[in-house]
This record gives sequence, C-alpha cells and structure tokens, in this order.
Amino acid sequence: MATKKSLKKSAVAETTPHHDSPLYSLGQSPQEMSKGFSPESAPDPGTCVLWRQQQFRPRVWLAVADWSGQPPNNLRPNTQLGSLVPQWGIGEQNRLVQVTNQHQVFTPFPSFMAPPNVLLAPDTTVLQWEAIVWTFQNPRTPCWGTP
Amino acid sequence: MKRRIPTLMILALFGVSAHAQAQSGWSAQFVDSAIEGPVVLLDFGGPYVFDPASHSATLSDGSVSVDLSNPVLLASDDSTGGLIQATAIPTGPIGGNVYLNVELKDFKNSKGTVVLNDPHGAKNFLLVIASRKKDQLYTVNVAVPAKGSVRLVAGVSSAPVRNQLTIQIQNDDSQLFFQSLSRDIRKVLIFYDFGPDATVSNVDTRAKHIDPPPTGGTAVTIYPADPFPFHATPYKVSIQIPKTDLPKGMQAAVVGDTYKITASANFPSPTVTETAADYDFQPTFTSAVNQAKQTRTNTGLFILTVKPVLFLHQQNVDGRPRRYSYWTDFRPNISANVDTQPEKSSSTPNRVTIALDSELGFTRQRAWGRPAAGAEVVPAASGGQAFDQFTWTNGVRTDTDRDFKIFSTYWHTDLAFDLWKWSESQAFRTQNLTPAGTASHAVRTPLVTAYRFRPSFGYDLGSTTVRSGTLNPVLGSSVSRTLVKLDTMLEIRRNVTFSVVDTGYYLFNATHRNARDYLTAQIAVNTGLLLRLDTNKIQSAIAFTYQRGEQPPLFKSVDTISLGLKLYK
Repeated sequence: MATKKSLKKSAVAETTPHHDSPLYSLGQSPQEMSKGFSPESAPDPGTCVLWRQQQFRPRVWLAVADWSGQPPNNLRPNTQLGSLVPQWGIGEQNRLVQVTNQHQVFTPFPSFMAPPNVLLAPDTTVLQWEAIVWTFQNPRTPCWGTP
Repeated sequence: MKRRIPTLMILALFGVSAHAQAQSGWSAQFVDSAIEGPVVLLDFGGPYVFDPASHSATLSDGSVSVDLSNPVLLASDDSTGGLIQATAIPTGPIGGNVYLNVELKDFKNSKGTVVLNDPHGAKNFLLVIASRKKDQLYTVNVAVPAKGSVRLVAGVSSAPVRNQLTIQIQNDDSQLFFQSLSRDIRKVLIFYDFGPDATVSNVDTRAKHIDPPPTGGTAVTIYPADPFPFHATPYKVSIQIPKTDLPKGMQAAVVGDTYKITASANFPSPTVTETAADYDFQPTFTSAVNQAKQTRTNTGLFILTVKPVLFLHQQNVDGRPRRYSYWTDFRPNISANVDTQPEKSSSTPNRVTIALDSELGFTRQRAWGRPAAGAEVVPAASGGQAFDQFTWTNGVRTDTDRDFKIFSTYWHTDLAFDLWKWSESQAFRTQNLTPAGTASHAVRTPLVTAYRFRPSFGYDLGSTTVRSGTLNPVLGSSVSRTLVKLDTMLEIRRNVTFSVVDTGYYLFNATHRNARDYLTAQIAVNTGLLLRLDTNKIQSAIAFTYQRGEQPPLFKSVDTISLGLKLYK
C-alpha cells in the first residue's frame, strides 16, 4: 500500500504543469511553499496570514481553473461555479473537491479539504468557494483562525 | 463608494493637483511575521495583471491601472516623520503575470528605515497609490497594532457551516486562553446585530461548546448555541468574554467586567440547495378531453413538485488520483398533479406520488491517462475534463389518486445517465469570461441558452390496494413494470423553454395492452422576477402544457391542455 507521502508526491506530479504553460502555473514548488514552516516550530499568526494570502488562495484559484478548464486569469472573485461547467450538480462538486485536494492547497500542512456533504448552489462564487475550502480543512492546520 | 480625501499633504507631496479617492473593495492588512518582518498586504478585491516593465497593476476588469513603483504611506500623526516610501512586490501568482495581492515592504522615509509598529500603541496609516492616469490617487487605510500587543481576532465560518467562530490569540498562550474559557464556556455571550435598518430583531445567544487550538495553532473554535442566521446583508457578531478569562496581558487594559470583540458574518441566503432543489408549482386552467365519453371539460389543474437533497455523502474526493468518485444521498419527494373535478368525471392526470428515494451516484472521468513525464499538460476544454455521471435511484414510493382511494406501493429503481455534455445549463452557456485586465463583456446570449437530454430506465415492483371502490381487473393488484424515460429540454434566448418528458411503461401483469406511455410537453415563457420581492430566487413563467397518455396508479387515459403560471427554482 502506498504511503501518504508517496501519494502526495504522485498527486503533485499529476498536477504540476510544464513551466511554459500559460494556463497552469503553481508558481512555486511545494518545497518553496513550505518556506518558513518547520515541523518543530508552529507558524506565528503573521506567517499564517502571508501563507493564506500568498499560497493557499492562489492554489485554490488554480484548482478551480484546472477543474473548469479555464485559464486562471479568466476567473474573478464573483465568477459563479455553476457558470464554469456544463451542468452543476453533485458529480461536479465531487470533482471540484477532488481537484482541490489534488492541488494540495494546504501544503505544507498535511491537510485536505473534507467534502462539504451538502450540495452547494450553482451561484456559489469563487470567493465563497475559497472560504468554504478554508472552513473544511481537515485536520485543522495550525493556521486555523487566520483572518 | 468613492470618497474624496482632502489631504493637502498628499497633494503637496505628489506635487500635482490630484484627486485622492478611497477605493471600495480594496483592503490593506498590516502583517508582522517571523519570516518576512513587517509588511503590508494590499488586496484589490480580485486578481490583477502586473506589468514588470512599467511596474504597474491593471485590475481584472480593466477599470483601473495603478503605478506600483512608488507606493506611499502617510501616518495619521507625526511620529514617523511624514512620508514613508515602500517597495511593492506582486504576490499570490495564479499564472502568467496575474496575481492576487501586493506585498509592501522596506518602509523608508528621508531619515532611513521606518518601523511601522512600535510597542507604544496602535497607529493608522493611509496608503497612497498613484493611478496611471494623471492627477488620480487612490488611498487605503492601514491599521497597525502595537508591536507585541496581546490581541484577540475573531472570525466567522463561511456557509454552509453556520455554527463556528474562531478567536485567534496573538502574542499570548492560546492553550491557557482555551483552558480559562472552557471552565464555563456558557459565560461567553454572543450577539448578532443586524443594524438599525433591519426588519428582524437582533439575536442574543451564548457559546455552547469550545474546541482547543489545533496542534501548533493559535485559535480556539467556539460553537454558538444559535447558529448564524441567514440575512440579506452582512451583520455584526459581537463576542463578549468575561474579563477574568482574558489573557493576562489584556486584563489590565480592560474596563468593566467583560471584553467585546467583533467580526462580520455574511450569510445572505442558503448557498446550499438542500431545501431548494426542484421546486415547481403550477396552478393552471386546463381543458381536458374524456375519450370514453367524447366530451371536453374545463377545470383547474395544480402541479406541484418538491424534491430536496438530504444526507449527502461524497466519496473518493481525497485528492488521490482516481477515475471514479461516488456519492449517496436521500431524496424524499412529493409530486402532485391534481384537478378540482369530481373523481368520476375527472379526465386529468390526478396522480400524487410520495417517494422516499436514495441515490447512489458516480462519475467516471473520460480520457483517463497520465501525461508522460515532462510532457506539457494539455489544457482541458472549457467545462473541464469531460466525465460521465450515473445516478442509481432506489426507493419506496406510493402512487395514489387525488382522493386517496387507490394506492400503489412499490419499490422503485432506476438508472439515469448524464453523459459528457448531453446537458448544459444556462449559466454555463451564457458565461462570457474574459482575461484579467480586460473589461467584462455583456453576458452572451446564444440561440440555445440551455438544453437537457437525460435518459433513464427502471423497474417498479409492488402491489395495489383500494380504500374504496374496486381494483381495475386489467391491471390487477400487483405492480411489476419496467419504465423507460426520456427527459429533454431546450431553452431559446433565455426566455422560451421547450420541454418534453416521455415515459414508456411495460406492465407485466396487465391482461391486455401491456405497453403504456405518458407524455408531458411544455412551452414556458420566462417572465423573470414577476414579483419584485425577495422571493429567494423563485422564477416565474407562463406555461402551456400538454399531457397525454396513461400513468400510474390508475392508467386512465389523459388528454389535457393547460395554460398557467409556473413558479420554480
């Protein structure tokens, strides 16, 4: 059975784009993203703010872009999830959660997004989705509660 | 809303006759972190395009372009010696030159490096950014807390979670705070304040449960006794904490017995469709033909459908590469199609179905396969990677007539297919996304603004009983039938919707005419928000409906034309 670490690596390989691709750019490698975090020392609140704004948020947007097949720069905070896919429903929501988790949005923390287990409305916006992903982090990261 | 700032200092320092505006939607947050030191994070309220050559940022809608080469901070007092210049770095990349925020650092004035936060108290600054248009400045307020001060920062969960709020403890021990609060968490009072213009009363509640900070974390999680209410506009949440439970570093400064912190909650309407799925109500005026008597009667016909989604559980969404994902849910539903005529002379459908259905759904990705190592990821088409969706429904159903004289109770199973792009919603077909930095175009309106093609097949097994009257000898008392259903819809220019639902039955126990069929065809002209009220997005349409054929439980011949109002979600 594959370990959690090897599974995470394979997920990264799956989603890491070619560096020339204008559509999909993670911007930073997971190693770069984990800069400043170490298992021994908990991040301070300021570091958490920077991590949430500069790393977590872009990864959620990239996941939405990946899921919808849209270039990330086509997205806006008020873009509705239901407008990005042919037919919004539980299946699409499943796939969005799946893609969000493939993008390892909580790196360097070993957390994933738990499925909301309710059907979100098709007019849920990208900004709201960002907050939903944050709320459904599992297990809660040390940055839980960061404004 | 734009507000002109009569800041003579700004005008003097920039040496121009400029207009300074506080820009709504922008925000700036002071952050003092162990890694980066003190920085200010500027958020334009959305992504922006950064031009490295000119060091400028163009907002995603193309409306504003600002110069990031010379951002300036002005202190509200003279403690920092006036003008503070900063270096702006785009951060939060989402591909290409598009970023989500700006980091301002290296704060300097004419005397050298400036420390924005000192231990003596909180400060306020005005961040001034020049537009690329001449004589235009934008300002954003920046609140800077005292360095090392103990602070509590409250946050509210987002929908669909309405029962959690967080309190982050800065510069003190969060575990001690948790322990003191958890001694009697009910002492923490919580108020939902909807503002002076609200038509509903404010809500006073209290905390009922508290979670400790996660490992290495600094925030406790509090569960209010009453969840955050839905409200059309954002509202204030006040949390009142007993002084004795506060971190030691805060207690001296607190006047009174309690300390209040606030947060903003925003739950405008249910973003969850569990109670909003498939609502349909149609009062109609109907003309019905009684084929046996060769007569036509006019009557009122009422059509109602309520089909919520409950207890949804999603599986295989943990981020491991998989081709399939699954879900289960519970869908109790009721549909009624009844008229106002006496049962004997009625020739309209007159069917009421009450069902306790559960669904097992699964999706299968198309074009499964991994790109070779080093190969460029080919962007998926709009709408993402194609996949097929299958929904297997099982449930116990009861069909009855309007007067509840005959009941067919049976196990129902069916398998429905939503393949590839056999269905497309209006939201998807009318979206017109444009790259960041360019103005959004109006919503496009193709000829076909939505369509649906959804086949399914199933089987019913059960029995029929009568409360009064006699059983139909042709149908018998047992139910054993297969059904094939085709659900189609075509929406033209957002306004006119054609829909046809045809269900074919094969009755194994019927003594003759085993094959039956029922067709519902409808033309609906969307009248939009006919009632300009907060009707929670209920739409309306003038509907022209044709129903013909036979359907359970009576399998009486029906031939009706209806004109009515359709209210639906």
